[in-house]
Amino acid sequence: MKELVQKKECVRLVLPHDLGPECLQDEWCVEFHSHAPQPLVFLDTFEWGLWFGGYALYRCGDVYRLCSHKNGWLGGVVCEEESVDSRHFWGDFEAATMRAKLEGMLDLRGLSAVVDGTFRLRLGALRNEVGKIVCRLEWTTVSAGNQGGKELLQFCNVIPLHGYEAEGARAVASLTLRGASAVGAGPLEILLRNAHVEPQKYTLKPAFGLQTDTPAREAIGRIVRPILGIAVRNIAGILNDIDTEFLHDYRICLRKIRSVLSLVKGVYPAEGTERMRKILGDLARETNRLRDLDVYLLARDEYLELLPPQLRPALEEMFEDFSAQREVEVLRVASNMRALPSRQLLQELEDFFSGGTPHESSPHADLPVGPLVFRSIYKRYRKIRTIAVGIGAETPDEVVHQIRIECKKLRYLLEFFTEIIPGEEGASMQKTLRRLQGRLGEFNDASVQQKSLLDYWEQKKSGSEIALGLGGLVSILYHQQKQTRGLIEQALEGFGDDSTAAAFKSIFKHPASTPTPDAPRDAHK
Amino acid sequence: MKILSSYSIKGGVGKTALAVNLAFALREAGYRTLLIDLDPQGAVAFYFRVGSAEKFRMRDAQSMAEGLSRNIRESDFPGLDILPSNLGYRHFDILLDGMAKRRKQLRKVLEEFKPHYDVILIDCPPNITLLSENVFRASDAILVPVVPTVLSQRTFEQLTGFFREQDLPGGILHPFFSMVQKRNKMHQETMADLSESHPGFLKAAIPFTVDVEKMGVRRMPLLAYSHASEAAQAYRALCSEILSQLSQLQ
Repeated sequence: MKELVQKKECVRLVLPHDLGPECLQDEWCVEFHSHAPQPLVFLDTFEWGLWFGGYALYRCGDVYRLCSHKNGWLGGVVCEEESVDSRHFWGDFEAATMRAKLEGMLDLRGLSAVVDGTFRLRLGALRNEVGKIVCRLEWTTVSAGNQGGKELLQFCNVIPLHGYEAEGARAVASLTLRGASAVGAGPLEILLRNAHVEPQKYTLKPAFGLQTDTPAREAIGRIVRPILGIAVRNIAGILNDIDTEFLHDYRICLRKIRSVLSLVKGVYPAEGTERMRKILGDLARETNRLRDLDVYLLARDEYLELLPPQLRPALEEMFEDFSAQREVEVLRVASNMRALPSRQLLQELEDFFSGGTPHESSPHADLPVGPLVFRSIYKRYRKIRTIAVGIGAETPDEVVHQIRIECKKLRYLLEFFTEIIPGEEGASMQKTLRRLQGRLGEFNDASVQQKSLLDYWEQKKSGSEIALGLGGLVSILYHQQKQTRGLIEQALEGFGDDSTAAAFKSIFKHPASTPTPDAPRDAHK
Repeated sequence: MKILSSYSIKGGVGKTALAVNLAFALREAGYRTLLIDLDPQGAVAFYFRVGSAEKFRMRDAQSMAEGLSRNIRESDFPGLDILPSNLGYRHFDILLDGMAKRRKQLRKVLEEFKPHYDVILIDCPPNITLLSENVFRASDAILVPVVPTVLSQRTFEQLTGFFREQDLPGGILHPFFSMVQKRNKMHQETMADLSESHPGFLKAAIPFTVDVEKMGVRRMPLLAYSHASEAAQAYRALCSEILSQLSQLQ
C-alpha cells in the first residue's frame, strides 16, 4: 500500500546576503526567534576520511556531533557526545554509535581541526490569516572563524507543515523571486573554500602517466616526484604527532624512492644515485626507533590478549616503558626534522629529482623504460623462484627474510610500472604477491618481535614477574612464527608454480608487442 | 499504536476539551498523536485553527483511509496532527451500513495509520449510532467525561447498559469526572456515590474553570497557554493515568 501520510518536504534555498526574513511580511504573519551564534570547529583526518565517507564531525562547546553531509550541506545528527576532554581518535569516544561509525572512517588516523565557522540560526514560522502556522523556516547565516567574522553564506530551510504544502510552495516562490536559489555549495564546503582548504583523496599510489617508451630518466623522475611530495606532506603530521600513520607513510615513501633507484639502474649518474640512496637511508633510519615503538604500542591490546590475564600486568609495565620512551623519541625526531641539516637533505632530494635539474649522462637515461623495467621484473621473479625452491622447515629465518625483501622489490616494480604492464596480469600478480608478502610479514614480525622482547629483557633485567610475561609472549610469538612458516611454503609454491612462471615469462621476457599510447590495452592480452 | 476515544452520549460535558488537551499531553509525553474529529460540529478544527476537511468519496475502507489521510493537517505543535471534521461525516452511518462487517470498518481504516502514529485519539459526536459502535469496537480505551450531576449519571448508565446489551467489553470504558465544582455539594455527593457504584472511575478529575472556557478565545489547547494551571495539571494527570492503565493491559 502506498504511504498514507507523506513525509515532509523541506526545501533548502541559498539566499542573497542582504535578504532578511522580513521580506515575507507582506504575505504572512512572520515570527522569528534568534538563537545564540554557535561557533563550530569541524574535524577530520589527514585523509579526509569523514568528508569522503559522507560525514562531518564538529565540536560545538563541549559537544561533539557527527552528522551526514552532501556537498558540504550538513544533514541530520547521527550521534553526539559531550566531553570536556578533547577527542582525538575514534577510541577516545565513549558513545557506542559514535565509536562504531568513526572506527571505519578513521581507523588509525587522528582527528584535527580543519576549519571553524559560526552558525547563527533564526527559527521562524509563517502564520496564515487565522493565525495557524503553515510553514516553518530555519534561517541560517554562516560566518568564517569562531568570532562570527566575514559572512559567507545565508540559507533557509522552508518546511511546510503537513497539509499546507501549497503555502510552503508559495513561500519558496516568494523567496525565489527575491533571488534565492535551490542550488549552491553547502556551509562546510564554503568554509573550507574560504580557508583555501580542499579535501583531496589521499593515496600512496599516485598515477605517474608512464608509457612503455617514456625515457627511463624521465619515467623515474615522474615516479619519484609525486612520492617525494607525499613524504613531504606527511612531515607536518609527524611534527605535531597527530597519528602514527604520518611516520609510517613517510617511511614508505622514502623506501619506495630508494627502491626504485636500486631497481632501475643506470638512469642517473652513479655517484648522484648513491648520494640520494644514502640520504633516503639516513632520513628513514633516523625514525626507526619511533616506528618500532609505534608498532609495539599499536599492538598493545593484541599482545595483552595473547597472554593469560594473570601475566598481563607484567607486560603493561613494558608498554608503559615504551610509551614513555615514545614521548621522548617523538620530540627527538621532530626536533631533528625541524633542524636545518634534515631540511637541507630533503631539499637536496627535491632538487636532484626536479625536472629542470641537469644531470650528466648515464647509460640507461634515454632508453625506453618498458623493456628496461620488464627485464628487471623478470630477473626479480626468477630470483624469488630460485630461493623459494629451497625453502623448507629447516630454512634459516634469514633466508625467509631475504625472500621477503625480494618480494617487496618485485611488488614495488609491479606497482610503479602498473600503467605499462599489459592486460590485467599486473594487478593479479600484485594481488598474489600481496598475499604472499602478508605471510612473510607475519613471519618476520614474529621473528623481529621475539628478538626485541629479549633485548628489552636484557636491558631491564628487573623482577621475575616481567620475565614471566615476556617469556609467555616470546613463546606465543615463536609458536605463531612456526605456524606461519607452513603457510609461507604453501604461498610460495603457488607463486613459483609453472603457470605463474609462464605468465611472468610471456609478459616480461617475451612481451607479445610493445603497447603504444594509442593502442587499446586489450590488444596485448 | 493505541486508539483512544473521547465519548459521551450527552453533549456539553467537556468531551472535546478532553480530546484537545489529552492529545496535547500525549505529544508532550513523546507520542506521535493523531486527533480525529468525528463530530460534525468541528470544534477541534476551530481550536487548532485548521479548516474543515474536504469532501471525499467513501466507497470502502481503502478509499476512506485515503480520503481521511488527505485531510490530515499538522498542528502548530510538533508531534500532533489533526484530522478535522466535515459536515459530510454525518453520512458515515449510511456508508457503514452498506458495508460488510459494518461494525468493525473503522478499526480497519485506522490500522492503515499505524506506521505513522503511536496514538490515535477520536473525538466522537454525542450520540449513539452505528459510527459510535464502530468507535467502541475500534478503541483500546474510551474516555467518558461524566459531569457529577444526576443527568450525566443517567447517560453514563445508559452507556454501560448498551455495552452489556451489545456484548461489548465494558473494561475499555474509562469514566472520569469532568467540569467538577469543588464547592458544589451536589457534585461532591454524586462523585462519592458514583465512585462507589462504579469503581472504574479514573482518579484524575477535571475541574470546572474559566481557563478551559478561554480555549475558544485563544484557539489552542489549554495546556499550550496555561501550562501550570489546575486544569492543565488535571489533564496531564489523566493522561498519565490512562497511559499507565493501557500499559498494564499489554
